[in-house]
Amino acid sequence: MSITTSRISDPILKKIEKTVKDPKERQFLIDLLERELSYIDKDKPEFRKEFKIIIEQRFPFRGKDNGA
Amino acid sequence: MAHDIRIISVELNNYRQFYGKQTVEFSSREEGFTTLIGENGEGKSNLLNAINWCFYKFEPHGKKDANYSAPILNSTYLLEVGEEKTARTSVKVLLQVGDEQYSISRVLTVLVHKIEYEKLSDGEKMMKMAMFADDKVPSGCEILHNESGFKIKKKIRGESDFHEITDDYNTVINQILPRGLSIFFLLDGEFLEKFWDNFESVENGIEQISQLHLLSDAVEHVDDMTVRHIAVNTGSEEGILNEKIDRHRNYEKSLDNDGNEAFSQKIRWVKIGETQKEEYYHTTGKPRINDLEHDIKKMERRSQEISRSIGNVNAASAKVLTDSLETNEKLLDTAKKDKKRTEETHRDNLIGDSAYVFTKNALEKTVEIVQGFQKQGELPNETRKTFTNDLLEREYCICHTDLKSNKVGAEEKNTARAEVEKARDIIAGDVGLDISVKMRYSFKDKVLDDYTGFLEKTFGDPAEKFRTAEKAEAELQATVKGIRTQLGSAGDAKITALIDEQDHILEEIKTAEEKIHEIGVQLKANADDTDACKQKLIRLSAKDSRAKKVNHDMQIWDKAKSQLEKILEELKEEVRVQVQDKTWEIYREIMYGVEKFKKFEIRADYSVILLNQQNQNHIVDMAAGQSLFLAISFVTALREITGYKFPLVIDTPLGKIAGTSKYNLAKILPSHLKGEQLTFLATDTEWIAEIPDIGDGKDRGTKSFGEIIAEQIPIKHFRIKQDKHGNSTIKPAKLEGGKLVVD
Repeated sequence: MSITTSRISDPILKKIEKTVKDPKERQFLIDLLERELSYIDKDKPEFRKEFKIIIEQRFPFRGKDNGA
Repeated sequence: MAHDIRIISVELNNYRQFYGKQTVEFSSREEGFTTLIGENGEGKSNLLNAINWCFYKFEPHGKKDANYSAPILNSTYLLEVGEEKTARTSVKVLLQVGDEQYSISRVLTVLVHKIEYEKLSDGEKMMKMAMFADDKVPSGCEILHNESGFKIKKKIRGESDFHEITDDYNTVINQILPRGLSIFFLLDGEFLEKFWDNFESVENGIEQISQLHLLSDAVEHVDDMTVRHIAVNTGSEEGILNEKIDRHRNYEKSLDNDGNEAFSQKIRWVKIGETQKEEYYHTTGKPRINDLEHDIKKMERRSQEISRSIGNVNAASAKVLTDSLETNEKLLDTAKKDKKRTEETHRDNLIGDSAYVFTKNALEKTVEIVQGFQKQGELPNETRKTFTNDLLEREYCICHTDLKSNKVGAEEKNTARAEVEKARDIIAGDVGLDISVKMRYSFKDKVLDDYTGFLEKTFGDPAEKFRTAEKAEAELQATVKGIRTQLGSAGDAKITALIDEQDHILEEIKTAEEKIHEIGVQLKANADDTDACKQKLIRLSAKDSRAKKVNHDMQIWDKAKSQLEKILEELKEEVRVQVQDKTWEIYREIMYGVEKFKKFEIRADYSVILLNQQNQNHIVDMAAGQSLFLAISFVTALREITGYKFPLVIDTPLGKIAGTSKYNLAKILPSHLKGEQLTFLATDTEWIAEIPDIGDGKDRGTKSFGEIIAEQIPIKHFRIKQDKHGNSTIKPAKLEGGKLVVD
């Protein structure tokens, strides 16, 4: 589900831009925070499963060359 | 979270005192502000409640009584419906969120059977209420759940119709306007006035509106991802390293070996006399630090309360006063002794040495005579005796006569020596001249050589010292009396008890801060060791592909965690300081000309300091108007700093505000909230009445608060009017010639 207008605030995005130089790592953090947005009213969000999907998408394990 | 949100309209259907269908169409940002004018009790606060109820099924505003029991369904309507018919109340809010519109509605439908009443002591009857889950409806009504509920529909720009969304409605509304933030966009006067009673609102405002909670939640969750779920042999090197990592993690999160939250035996701090369930501190790590920091804030709060109890002094000055009293009492004691001593010296000198003054001429004559004797060789006998003894010891005279003893039996045969011995014995018995010589030295040295100095030293100086001591004692008496008066309002015994409590609290704070430091040091050491363990694990797992995958993920999570932590810490500091500075800037503009404070600070733990000119923190005992203005300044600053544009509805903010500040507020709000959707709920007096001239020398003409704002920005007015049955209606109106005219 997605609420297109629900988004991470500009100060956070700017701070990520400034702090994280690698675009891949930057996008990884944004993905995680966007997931967090959907947990706002949830006491015990099921984040483990969703976070695993995100890491596999952004940093898939490829044996010798792990892409990290 | 959405960033550009405005309320298009609110539609009430038989909601509380609003009878029938009442609609308010709000001005957009571009169109200006919206104002609803109504007297107290006519429904202003219930408009806020209606929005809250619609969004969150929550009605927090304007209730003085916790047992508030007026039915949510309008009473007149309910009675009109009649028995065995359905009655319905609803609130619908249209929201513009970026390019999307949301129709958010909540409906409560009941089947009316036979409404029950209870009799009051004066014979009147009152509708009985009954609770069904979290709904309160009149007894004798049955909730029709299939016809009640919460619904959100949406349409995007260009679409003509709303369509139902498939997502969870509560999640959606909390994403658009989180419930925790409702207090920051639906503001009532009471909330604003009590805003600074605790600093949770400050913390929530900064953390929530800046989305810092998103970052801290992400850190927590990412941290959870770093837990290794890979089986290794206990006792193997990997096993030992993993155990170490787990141990450090348990310390950090205050967990026991089974992963359950662990608490110490130490009971958390509570205010003396406060009855509440005993709570225990977490054992270790960040939870323990959070507990301690939370309690430190509570202790500081109590410390400020103690100061208020002692009088209009703050904690520091109460302590300073008590210390000062103690010090000054000691000084007074010394001053009393000094006064006594100098008084005695002065008196003794007067009695003992005044004779010298009266006999000065006689003394001079005496000295002259004695000096004459001395010039003639009449040395003092004491000296002559010493001289003869010396000759006898040497056994020869200065004229070389032999004085060696030649005794035969008791008789001295050396006649020269016998004569010298005889002269010595005569001298020894004659002390008259010696006394005269001593008197001569005494008179001359003490009195005559520097007679003026003698007079000053003997009479002038002691008299001056006595006068100084007398004055010092009087001043200290006055100081001690003054301090006692300042401390005296609560009575000595009570003050002593409060000061003791204050001392105890300060000691507790110190201990808590030391504990926080100690845990911080341990956490740092554990973090370093955890890093080292993880590096070793990576090396050890080089040949195990599953372990390699786990380590690969762990490295990424670790890095993400440290990046998120860095972003969180930096942002937290930046936003806090920016909000602090902006709040202070706006507040000073509002209070221009009547400013009594010189510094405003939001500290890292979100406690707040507002210093007056005497460097006392007055955040806890501001006047109602000051508190309200500072809160409005804070909320306005939050919006400016975070760029988060949500609608702002302010209920009755102006009742307790003096003329100058009210004038300043009317002047600056349109510029600070330019482009924001602002709605006022105000009484006639607050909005339309001329701002009184309080004699501050400012020529502000004869305009009302509403007129001053209307000069700067268009305002859409509504009149809330109540009939004799207590039912309210909302009608569009215009401000004309200082009066509100219903269209």
